[in-house]
Amino acid sequence: MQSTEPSTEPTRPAPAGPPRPTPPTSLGALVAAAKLGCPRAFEHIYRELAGQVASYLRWHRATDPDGLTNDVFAQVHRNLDRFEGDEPGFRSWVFTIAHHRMIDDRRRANRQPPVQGEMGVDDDLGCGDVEEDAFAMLANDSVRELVSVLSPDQRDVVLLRVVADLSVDDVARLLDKRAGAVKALQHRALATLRRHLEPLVAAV
Amino acid sequence: MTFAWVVSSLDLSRHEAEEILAGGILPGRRDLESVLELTAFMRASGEVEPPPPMRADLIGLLGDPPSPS
Repeated sequence: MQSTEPSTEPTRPAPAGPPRPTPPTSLGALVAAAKLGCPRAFEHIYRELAGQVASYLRWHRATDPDGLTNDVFAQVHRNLDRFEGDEPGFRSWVFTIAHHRMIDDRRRANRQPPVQGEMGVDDDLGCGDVEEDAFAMLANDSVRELVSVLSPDQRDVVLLRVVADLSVDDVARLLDKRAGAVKALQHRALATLRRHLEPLVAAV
Repeated sequence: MTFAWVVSSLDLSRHEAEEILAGGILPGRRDLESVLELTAFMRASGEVEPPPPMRADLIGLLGDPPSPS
């Protein structure tokens, strides 16, 4: 993709000549500008979504979430001219790429099944105020292990709904499932998480 | 499907599950607070995680170095 504007510091006065477009601020407008070849618009898209993508990959225990996030956005950049859709559609498209990258990563790294049973949360639970202790529990990185009690399908649905902030319909399209199946999976997932959390909270 | 799953899911409707995942609140359901806190933590983790540094190959793809944040 060719650059359509000179590389300048943001605080530098605009050069003389034709008016230099300022990158728009809404994601939809940024996508439109990036499709026209504006690198700064793509950088803004990256800043807007890359943290969430990295978090999604981290929750999935990807081997190198930061590197994979770069790979995801390299693919986004390469295929950007093929994207057609609105802002939610773009988010969904980015996370579709991230999801497939995560699956590839899992296959590569393979052959290590998800850790089961080692939740490691109990050790960090205190004996004071219930809310403070619960918060301390949630603030601990080991709480990420909790999602390992979910089936792969349940985990995909919950992480796409919560971390990626996608709708039921978006998740259904991404996972090639019916919306009803996604709702059933998320219902079972939360029931499962609740069942595993109850004894932890009761022990506080 | 285990008996334990049936028991716990009976107390959690599909509507409540959707509310929890959409970031809603469920007044009067203290029994669901732990799940609400967990999903809130998950959501927040995505919102606060900074974008990882762009690597050289991605910067090269853009054809223009990224401007400082």
